[in-house]
Amino acid sequence: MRPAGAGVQPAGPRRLAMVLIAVLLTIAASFMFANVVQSDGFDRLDVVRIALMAIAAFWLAWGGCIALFGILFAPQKAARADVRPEGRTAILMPIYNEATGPVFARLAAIMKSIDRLPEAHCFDFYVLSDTTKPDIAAREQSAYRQLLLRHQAGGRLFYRHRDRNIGRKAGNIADFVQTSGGAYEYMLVLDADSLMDGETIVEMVRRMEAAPRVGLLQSLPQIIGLKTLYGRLLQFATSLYGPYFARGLAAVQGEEGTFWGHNALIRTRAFAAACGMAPLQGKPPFGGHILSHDTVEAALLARDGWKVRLDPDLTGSYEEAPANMVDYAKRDRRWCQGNLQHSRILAAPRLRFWSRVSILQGIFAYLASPIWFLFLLTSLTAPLMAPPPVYFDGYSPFPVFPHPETATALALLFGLVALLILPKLLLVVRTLAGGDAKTFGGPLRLVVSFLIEILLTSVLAPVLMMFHCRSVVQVLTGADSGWPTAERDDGSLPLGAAISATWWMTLTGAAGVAFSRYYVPELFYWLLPVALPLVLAPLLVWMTSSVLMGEICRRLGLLAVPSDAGPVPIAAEMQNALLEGDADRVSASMPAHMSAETA
Amino acid sequence: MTSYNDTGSQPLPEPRGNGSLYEEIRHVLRRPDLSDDILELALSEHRFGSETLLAADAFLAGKGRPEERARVIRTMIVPPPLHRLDMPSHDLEPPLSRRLAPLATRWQRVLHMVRPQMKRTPAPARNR
Repeated sequence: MRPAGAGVQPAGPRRLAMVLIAVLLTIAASFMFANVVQSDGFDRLDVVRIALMAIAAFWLAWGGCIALFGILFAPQKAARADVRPEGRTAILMPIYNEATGPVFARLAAIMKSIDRLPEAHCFDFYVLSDTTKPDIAAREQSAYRQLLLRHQAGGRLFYRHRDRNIGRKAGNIADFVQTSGGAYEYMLVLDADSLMDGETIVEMVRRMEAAPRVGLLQSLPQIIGLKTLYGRLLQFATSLYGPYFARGLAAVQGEEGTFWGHNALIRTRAFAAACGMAPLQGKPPFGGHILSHDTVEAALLARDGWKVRLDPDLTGSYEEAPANMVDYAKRDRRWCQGNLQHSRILAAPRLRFWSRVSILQGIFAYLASPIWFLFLLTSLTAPLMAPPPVYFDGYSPFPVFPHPETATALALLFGLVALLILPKLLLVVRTLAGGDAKTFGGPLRLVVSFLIEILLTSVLAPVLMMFHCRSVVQVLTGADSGWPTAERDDGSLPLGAAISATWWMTLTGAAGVAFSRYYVPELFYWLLPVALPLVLAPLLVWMTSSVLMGEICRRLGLLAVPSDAGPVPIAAEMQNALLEGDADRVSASMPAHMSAETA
Repeated sequence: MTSYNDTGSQPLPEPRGNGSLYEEIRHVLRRPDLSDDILELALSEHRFGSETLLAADAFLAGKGRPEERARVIRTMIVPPPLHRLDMPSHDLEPPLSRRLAPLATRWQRVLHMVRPQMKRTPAPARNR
């Protein structure tokens, strides 16, 4: 156990090891693929294919290494200090046209959780509204008054509304810093769907006070509250694999860690001095205000010598996520634009080397899909462009037949699949061996859930790939995504909505199947695992958005997560607050004499 | 324009404001930064609802037990502390001339160090 203020272990050797492993795996995959493609002759298209394969393989190997390092390098738990924090903290909830009831219910739950602690007087709460719709803004003001009355929170609960959301969320936070930031040592930045336990928040403040050079401390948010099949799949994956991936990230990032934009504690003065960002020259999508500001803010803090730390043992931090693939794709579209915009600041002055790697990693998260897609296209067309086989090369009187490379191709395929599955399998084995299986429904259900997860993610991968490809194309062609409000209801989709979102994938998949059937029949069966899910995309999207299927899984104990066994206390608190808020709204809407009688 | 929440209710009769009431509010809310003017405005906009046991007149007259009075004060909407921090805008994509300036300076420094050695030594001196 390390003292609360101690730094993390040096990440240099781990970074070097990770890069070496990823590069060696990439070289091996590229060499094998080069052997496969030259079996029918070698041309320029093959060079392109090998290059694409090398990039995609490196990306896979990188992801695999992060999981592997998460298993190998479990961080030492920080000792809980009993010292009472002295600095004041502002808890910020920036909102933008969100569903008012749940937002204020979450804030009420966090307030209640903090108010139970002796350190409660150190915390103030801010609702920072950038809402543009007048009716929602009016509801927010009313909900604010009710919350303030209910919690007797005058003087420590504030509501601020900006008429124009200049700079979006980053501008919203900057506005707070430039108005009231100096009154607080720290600020805890939340999202509209964030939930955090009071104990966790206080522990974060303690750690920050114990380590004066830490500028930002990121907790590990868990996804909760999703009921659809896709939502349960996400919850299961993030609960089971997420902590290990986070440990792996923390192990290699060290003190140039990550910021996910929410559920993180920030040293206000460090943020104010380091994180002001001038808009980029030019128009969106690549110019204007920086959209995915969190990664850049982490890089800017590190640039000024502040430590940016991800502490994966900081649990009690929760968020919601899109419950279906269409909402997920909508959010990805926004993130994709932000991450691709980072290509312009990759060479920003004085950034730390690893901050640049993190930015590049964010860009690649979206470029990987078009690279895979291009690889598929070039692989489909390569046999058509291959030179005819040369049986008599002039050196031998006997015919020389092309050397079949089926075994190498299969080995390469299994190797790539292993890069995807092996880390997950290791994590399941570790969970089984560590005795944590019962929180996932028991050993048998955990194994079945793992198989379902692998099957579903494999089937849905081509659909996600196409969504990413479309996002990248839209960004590159200059279509600005704007800032659409995230959908956060029960998440189910009507079949019509699924069809209208994915009909073009069906056409693409069908075209691919037809093309390979008539022109490159030798690749027909190789293409099916990708093309079939595309043909069936509307059905897949619709089925995975089903609340009923999610409920069936829950009842069978499949894709189970620890929060299924017992409700998360802060989430239960939020539900109560939601009911109280509803009751307040009803009584507020009653005529005065009726509400007096009811009272 | 940025607006902080106001109560939006019917104004109360002019509060019989005096220093001790304001001091009491500052003490209960732990907000010594709140000026008399701000508190006067906050009081004039405050809505005394059924959730507080004290009526407006009784509160302003200084009646009621301390916990009842604190309860009223804690339902008041007051502005957040105003303590601005400067947030300088950093240019993340400066022009090439500014970006290469440190390199150019370093190069000049190296040249400066090397230049004396590059000076041609006169032949008589060399022979000596």
